[in-house]
Amino acid sequence: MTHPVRSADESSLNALAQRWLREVAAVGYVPGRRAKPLQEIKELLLELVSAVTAEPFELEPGWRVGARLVELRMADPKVIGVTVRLLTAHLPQLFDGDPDVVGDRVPRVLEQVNNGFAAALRDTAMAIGEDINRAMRVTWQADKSVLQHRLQYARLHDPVTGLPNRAYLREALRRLTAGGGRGRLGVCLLRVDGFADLNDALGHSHGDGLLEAIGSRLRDLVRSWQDTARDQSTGPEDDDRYLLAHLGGEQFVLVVTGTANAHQMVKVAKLARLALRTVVLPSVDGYVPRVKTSAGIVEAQAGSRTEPDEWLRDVHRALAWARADPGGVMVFEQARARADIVRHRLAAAMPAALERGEFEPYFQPILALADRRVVGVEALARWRHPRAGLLVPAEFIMLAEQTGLIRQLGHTLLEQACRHGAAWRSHGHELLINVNLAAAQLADPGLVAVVADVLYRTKLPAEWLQLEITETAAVDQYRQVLHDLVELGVRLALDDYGTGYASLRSLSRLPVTTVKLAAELVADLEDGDDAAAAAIVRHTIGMCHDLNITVIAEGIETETQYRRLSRLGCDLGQGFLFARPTSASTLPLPEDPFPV
Amino acid sequence: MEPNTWVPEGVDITVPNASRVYDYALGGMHNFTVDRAFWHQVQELFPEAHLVARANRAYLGRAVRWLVEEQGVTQFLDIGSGIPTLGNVHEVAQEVDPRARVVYVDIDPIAVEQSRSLLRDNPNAHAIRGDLRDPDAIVWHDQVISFLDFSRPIAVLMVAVLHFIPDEADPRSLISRIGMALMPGSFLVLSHAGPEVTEEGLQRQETARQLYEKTPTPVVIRDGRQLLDLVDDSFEVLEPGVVAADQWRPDPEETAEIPPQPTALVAVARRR
Ligand SMILES: C[S@@+](CC[C@H](N)C(=O)[O-])C[C@H]1O[C@@H](n2cnc3c(N)ncnc32)[C@H](O)[C@@H]1O
Repeated sequence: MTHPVRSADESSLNALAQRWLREVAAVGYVPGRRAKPLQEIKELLLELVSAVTAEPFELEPGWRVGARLVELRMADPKVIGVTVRLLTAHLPQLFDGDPDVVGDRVPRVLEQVNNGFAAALRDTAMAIGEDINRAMRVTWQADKSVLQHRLQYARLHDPVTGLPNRAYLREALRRLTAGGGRGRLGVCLLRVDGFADLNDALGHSHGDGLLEAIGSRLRDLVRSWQDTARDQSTGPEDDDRYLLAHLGGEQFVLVVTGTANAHQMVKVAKLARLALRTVVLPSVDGYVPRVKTSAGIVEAQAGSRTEPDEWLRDVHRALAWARADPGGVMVFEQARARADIVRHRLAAAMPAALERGEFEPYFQPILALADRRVVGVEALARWRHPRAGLLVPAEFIMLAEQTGLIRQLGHTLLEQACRHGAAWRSHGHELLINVNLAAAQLADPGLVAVVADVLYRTKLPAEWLQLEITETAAVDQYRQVLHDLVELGVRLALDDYGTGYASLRSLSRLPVTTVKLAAELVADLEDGDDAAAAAIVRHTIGMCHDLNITVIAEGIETETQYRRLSRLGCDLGQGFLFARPTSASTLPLPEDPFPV
Repeated sequence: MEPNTWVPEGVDITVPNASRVYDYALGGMHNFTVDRAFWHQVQELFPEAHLVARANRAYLGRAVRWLVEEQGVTQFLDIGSGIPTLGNVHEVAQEVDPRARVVYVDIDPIAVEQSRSLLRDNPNAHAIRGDLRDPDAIVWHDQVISFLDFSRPIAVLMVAVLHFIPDEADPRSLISRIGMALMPGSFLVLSHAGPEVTEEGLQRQETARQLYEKTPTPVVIRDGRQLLDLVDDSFEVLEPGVVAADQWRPDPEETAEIPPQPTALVAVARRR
């Protein structure tokens, strides 16, 4: 049996294809112009026709046609319904052969179309499901990494300036110093001076703006250095020589790798300070504030400190020095840091030491130069430190001033000195007791009461107490206090005269009855040829005498000095030549012939 | 602008999502149970709702074909592109001109990721994540700026997306921002959900709108006048003006004729 069926003519084939597409498009969306999908549908139809007419008969193409519909995205579930209905009704009409054979073959082919469609639909749905899954995972991961990235960024950058922050700097330093590091490394810590004031002056709302301006100025500067470094680059490592970080607030850090010496870092610091001075700020009350900074520097072998915090600690120390230095830039030095540590330990020990009474006055005799008779003593502070031994003022007075303990210290010394003075008096030794008064004590509104109380309790007559004040620019503002002290009957001496500020003016304005010539002036007298030194001293003494002021020379160490001072008419003197300061109990009393 | 600076919306498959609901409406399979359930609710109100989606999609195809064939546009920025379903912009455009370049932008990360996997082998089409409410981030996105040539005309598509932009987000200025980046001769292709024409239809529409309130992308219905108002003077709205989607340059050659859908309002404008 050859050719049991014969396929139909082209036009009825076209007509059926068009109808099929129309029905498909009615139930499921088929985009675009008709031509292309029609072509596709027609090919499917042809494939079905050849399947039905093929000898031997094959079912396979039916399956392929069903699957192909899905592939063509004519995949709405209703598509298969209309397809089967339409083709069941009209496909047989395309053949004129044995109706039984056609009637048998067409439904079997269509069954395969249905199966192929269903299977492809299932596969597609599952594949899409998997793809959605994957897409979700990808987005989720992408979101996570964006978040992580952002968290990481936030963790490592300052929110105001966007510059690397302390954590970033630490990590960078750790990297640079890992395994002993390579070459040298410079770290410069820049701090805006008086930031809080500047902030106040500009209005707090400008605070962040100010930091941003500073940050971007430094960023520009570093970028310009980087560009230069790149231009002169000898290798890729030169690209990354600079790191700018913002520790928050008014502190910025510059790290430079491959430095040759500390001097190079000083230059970096100076350029940065200069650049910041040109930051344009809004004017305040008609004047334009400038950004001034101090800079601390550490420059050393990269491996010299293994912990990032060690670099930061040392650069902070250097900054502290820089802030106290008019130059504003300081390089870290190990020796000075060690001395600092000692001082800090002392500072920490001081409050307890005051409680335990470890401070006591030593006394240095003051003599009348004419007959070398002891007429008074200057009380000088000593700290009987349980481990460090006897400490002299140079080692702790500054600390006491910085920590604010100076008032308490001054108080206890005053009291002890007056007590000794009163005791000596009761034994018939009339000594003028000289006690130093620190600037912080002058600023104490309770000072006059304290002095009165001490005098009352120790029973030392007020006129036998002489308080020594140092001439500083600030003394002027305490004139009232000084007058009140004089009211008490206490005498005042101007200490360290001749080295400080407006000496002449203070003399006429302050109620002082004694002037103590600075040891430096006395030392100058050692040189017999120094006519100028002699003239200054002579002039000072003359002037004091005109004003009815007594003159005490400090730091007399040699006979020459002594002789010349006597000749110049100086009244009193003290110094190693006569006696070193000693404890109250070992003080040689006036009756004893004084060893010369 | 860094691509990383905007907060990812995250993927929540427990609420219906506009892109997936729309995909389902067009017969797609890139959707979840919530999306299908949501669509069934909409269809209860509007049994013909899928026809609106089709009318909209068919308009999109015609507009793109017209732009490539008749206006010689070969660059497309499709904002609110959704899930790649049938008749995607690149398919239509590249069928006419294989060099046509398309960047798809959507706020939905899954839609973007699915677009990416579909476009894997297509060097002339990309998909990025972006929010129409931050137009600068889209225009200055690395992949946009490096892939599209802004010195030549670009067609920007905002099809069925503007109704997700509430008045508070100032859609007019968003469109202006985008317009500023475009050369004269560039195009805007817009479509928008418009009001029903009968009183009863309006009521049902209001119910449907309330359904959308529960999605991350509530819908604002705007009429033709309001749609025109979203476009500033730097654009000229082309003939036939704002019309129903099926009225816009109908193509007798199109596969299926869809009954008129007055609620899909569309317009095409040219940058002056
Ligand atoms: C209804 S679909 C339209 C898809 C395609 N433009 C169309 O008309 O055939 C809307 C698409 O806009 C997206 N969409 C919603 N708000 C968006 C926004 N603010 N920015 C970008 N895409 C947004 C949705 O995620 C969704 O994929």
